Amino acid sequence: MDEQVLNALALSVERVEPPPALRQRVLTAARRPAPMRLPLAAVAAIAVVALLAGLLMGNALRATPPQSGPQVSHFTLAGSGAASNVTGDVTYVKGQVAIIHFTDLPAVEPGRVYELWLITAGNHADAAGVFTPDARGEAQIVVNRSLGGYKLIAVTVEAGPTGVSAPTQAPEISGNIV
Amino acid sequence: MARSDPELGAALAAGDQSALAELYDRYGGLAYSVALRVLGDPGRAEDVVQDAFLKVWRGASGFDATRGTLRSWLVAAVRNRAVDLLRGRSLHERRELALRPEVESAQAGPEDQAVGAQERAAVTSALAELPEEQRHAVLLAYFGGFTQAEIAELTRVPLSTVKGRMRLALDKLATYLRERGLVDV
Repeated sequence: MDEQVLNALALSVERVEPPPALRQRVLTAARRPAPMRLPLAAVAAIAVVALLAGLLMGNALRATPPQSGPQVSHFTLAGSGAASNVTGDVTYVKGQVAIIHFTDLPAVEPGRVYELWLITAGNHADAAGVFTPDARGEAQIVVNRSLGGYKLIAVTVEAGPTGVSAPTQAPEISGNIV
Repeated sequence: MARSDPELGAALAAGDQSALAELYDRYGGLAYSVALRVLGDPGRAEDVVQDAFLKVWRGASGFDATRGTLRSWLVAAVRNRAVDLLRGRSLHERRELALRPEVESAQAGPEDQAVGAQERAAVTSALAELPEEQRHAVLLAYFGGFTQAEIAELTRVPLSTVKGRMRLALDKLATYLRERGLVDV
């Protein structure tokens, strides 16, 4: 019921006519097979790699000892139970941002969302965003903060659309922060 | 003759392209308006609308009319995708976007001239009757994608206070909207 009430807020928006070309754009896109678009996470990851490559190249050209630039680590989140096929590939730019690309996510029931949690060694969970998978079972989420002080990342299925303030169930997907 | 939403859902599931065009003609304006309301960026709003319609088109075979309307599914897809895109922005910008006042449209489209205008008036009135702090809480949650913990931090009040405000606001909105048959968008 809460979700239905919140969704009704959409009806309060000022109605704005979309650009006429948008209709054809949608219909044309629907006629194509699912496009292999580069997801936002991939773009961000490429940008990070390019940034690092630039830094390394700059260091090499100056023939100076390596500077202390951004440190990037990669680790994986794994699913269990109904989500046992899920993989979450994490690219973490230390102290700045983590980009997570999930694959093989089961669809969630209407009104439910996946919610990402950052969990401390003391088992305190901070919400880090909600998401739903696309038709291919994929989702990308950007955690725009440092993971310092957290021990693991976990995902639960919670009430949508905004998620909850504390996990209500055991994580379906989790992994240690490396 | 226009098809009902359940008929449209069945036609979409069968891969009927004309059903997608009909769906767009019926709800494209609402979808774009919601995306623009959340993001405040016409270009990104168009991207979100396209993504949402494609989500419905490709997932139509799984649509269950007993769990919600076609419109509510589409609107939720728009809102969720738009909020995903918001998360890269600063908290301040997200807050400003979520709480910016609605303005009356000087040139309402055809959809507004039909049932849309009545629905909008009802929901707007329901929101206007809420105390400001409760109204802000639901606007931040829905249009800004903030969790309750984030709203507590943003508004500098205890989480329990935010939870209480949300509960009161949702109960009042539910009562108001149910009386007008508007609980399910």
